[in-house]
Amino acid sequence: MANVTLDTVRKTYPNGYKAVQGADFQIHDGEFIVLVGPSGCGKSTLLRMIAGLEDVTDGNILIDDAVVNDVDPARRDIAMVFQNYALYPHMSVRQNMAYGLKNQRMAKSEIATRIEEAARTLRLEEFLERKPGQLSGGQRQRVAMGRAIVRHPKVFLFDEPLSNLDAKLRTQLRAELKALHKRLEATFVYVTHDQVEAMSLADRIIIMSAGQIEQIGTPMDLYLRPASRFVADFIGSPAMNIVHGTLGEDQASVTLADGSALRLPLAVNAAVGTKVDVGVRPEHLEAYSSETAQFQLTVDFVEQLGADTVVHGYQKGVENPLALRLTGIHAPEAGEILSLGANADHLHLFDSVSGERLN
Amino acid sequence: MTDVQTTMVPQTTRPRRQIKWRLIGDHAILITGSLLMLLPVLMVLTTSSYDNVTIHKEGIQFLFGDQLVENYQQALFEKGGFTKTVDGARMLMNSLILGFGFAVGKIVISMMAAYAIVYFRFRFGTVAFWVIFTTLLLPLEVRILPSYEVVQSLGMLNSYPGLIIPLIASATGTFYFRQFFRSVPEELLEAARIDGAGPFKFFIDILVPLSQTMIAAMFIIMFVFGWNQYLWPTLMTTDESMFTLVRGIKQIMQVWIGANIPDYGLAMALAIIAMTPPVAIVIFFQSWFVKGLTESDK
Ligand SMILES: Nc1ncnc2c1ncn2[C@@H]1O[C@H](COP(=O)(O)OP(=O)(O)OP(=O)(O)O)[C@@H](O)[C@H]1O
Ligand SMILES: [Mg+2]
Repeated sequence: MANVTLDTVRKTYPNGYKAVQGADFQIHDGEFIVLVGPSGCGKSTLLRMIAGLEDVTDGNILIDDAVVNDVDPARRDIAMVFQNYALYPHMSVRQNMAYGLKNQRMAKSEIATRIEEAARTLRLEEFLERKPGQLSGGQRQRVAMGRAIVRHPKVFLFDEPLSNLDAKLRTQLRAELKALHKRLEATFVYVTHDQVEAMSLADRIIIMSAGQIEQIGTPMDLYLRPASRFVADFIGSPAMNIVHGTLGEDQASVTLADGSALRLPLAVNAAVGTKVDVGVRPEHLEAYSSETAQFQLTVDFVEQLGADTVVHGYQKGVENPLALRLTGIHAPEAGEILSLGANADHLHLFDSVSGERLN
Repeated sequence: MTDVQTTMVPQTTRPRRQIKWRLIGDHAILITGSLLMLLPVLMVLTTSSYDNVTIHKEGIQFLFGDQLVENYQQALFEKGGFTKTVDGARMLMNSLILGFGFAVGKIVISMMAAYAIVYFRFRFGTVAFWVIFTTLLLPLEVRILPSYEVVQSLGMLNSYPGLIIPLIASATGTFYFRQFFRSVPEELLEAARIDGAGPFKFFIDILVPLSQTMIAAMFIIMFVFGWNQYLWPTLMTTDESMFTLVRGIKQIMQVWIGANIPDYGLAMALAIIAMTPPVAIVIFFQSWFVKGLTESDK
């Protein structure tokens, strides 16, 4: 159980690549933090610095108020689960779990109890004498978690632990992980590039892009008030509709590429003529009324998913394709024009250049 | 149903007959090849069961004679050479010591060298590797005189360490272990670091067990290589009690050639004895090798 604090942490790799450029946040005791972002944005680098596997170029990492920059990974009281499991192939499941404890010179009886306890939690009892090669992917990942659990660490670190598994197993293990977090009440830091995983697991999400932290917040914070166009685009599926334009004279309308105006039911606090991106999520498009911004969607094709229907289409003067998500089964014809609206709460305005939120 | 079967029959028998011919052809080639390899050895074995007079008069024999036990007993236990201090058993032991010492020494040294090169970032590490690697191009014969000088000035002539140590530095071994270590996933090292394993523990607990198959393969190659060493033992050993089999056979033949009839039977028996241990090692470790290959997966 521990706080983890990152104080303006930077990482520059020996080849000069700046993988993390100023990470500054605090993870609270018992929190489930998910680090999310596209491939190559520096998530693993950040996690590995917390683990002690990578040197910190600048700034401090604190675990429970003690600076651990120069502390050996084994002495940080952390445990890590790797994407490819990293089990010792020549050791049985039991030996895999025992290895770290043995190196701590823990008493044999204590090791045995801890392994038993972990095996029970993870339903691994019948596999204890097997080698990792004789296990399925899901079982191996559970062993990797077992190896972490038996250490009773202050902080659990996970680097995309589920991404080598098939979708069904991933969902199942996701639920197990959530339950595990509840049981252990430990601090979890979890890296993924899968936004669904992030949304469903996290107490708070840290979203990164190109070595920068874009936003830190609860899943709903990120969903309802994305701080930048990047976040808006990353969270949510299908992705948010983005309409490019220029802020009009009254600061309450946007001129689209073809000269037509998109009236906004809100005033924007930015200079007239600013290039802006107007965003609205596909599921937030509703019937047009006088209270909403108006969109004219020409239906292109329809995806019927059963529980809901995604309508793909386009609008004159808008470069990007637009999507509309409806609950239940619908079947609009291709070519049909739908008059849709988005109310003020569901409109997101971003500066086109900086990507920052304007409303 | 019957229709289908009758129409199927002519179609299937044709390719079957073709396959059979190919099978026979393949086997014929393989059998001829094996015979070419095995027959000389077999002839040595059968011939080694005759007395010298018969061999001298009638040449190579294809069937077993009645002198088998006598010849081998003589080869193994009768002292020969100038000084009458060395028998076949002694030479066999010397050869085994050289073979094992050579193989084990090479494996230990090259594993440690490869470990240093792969896992420790030190200055000139890569340079060190390439220097080691280029010595691959220099055979023992090139450096044999300086090696001899060193061993002699250390007073290690006619001793096992003198016989073994100068040979155990191995560029080949270092190279193979380096390639192998580089194929071990990085995360394994990181997991071990988090598990509190230092460099020494990681080597002993993780790398060595993972290298089992590699070690077995190296052992086969190196043992046979060491066993067959001729030039170095010839230079190194003047004391006959230190002779190895490979070196000893010729020496003993030379002495006995001076007597009435060359000791053919004895020489052949010794040749067979000299052949057996490498073959045994290959057979023994091969099964191990295959087992390791099929069982482990990283
Ligand atoms: N040892 C290294 N030397 C130089 N650059 C590196 C090194 N390791 C990683 N990088 C670079 O740093 C950036 C961040 O890498 P990192 O592994 O943290 O990405 P990631 O966010 O975990 O991506 P992924 O989702 O693909 O795992 C990448 O652009 C990568 O190329
Ligand atoms: Mg990564």
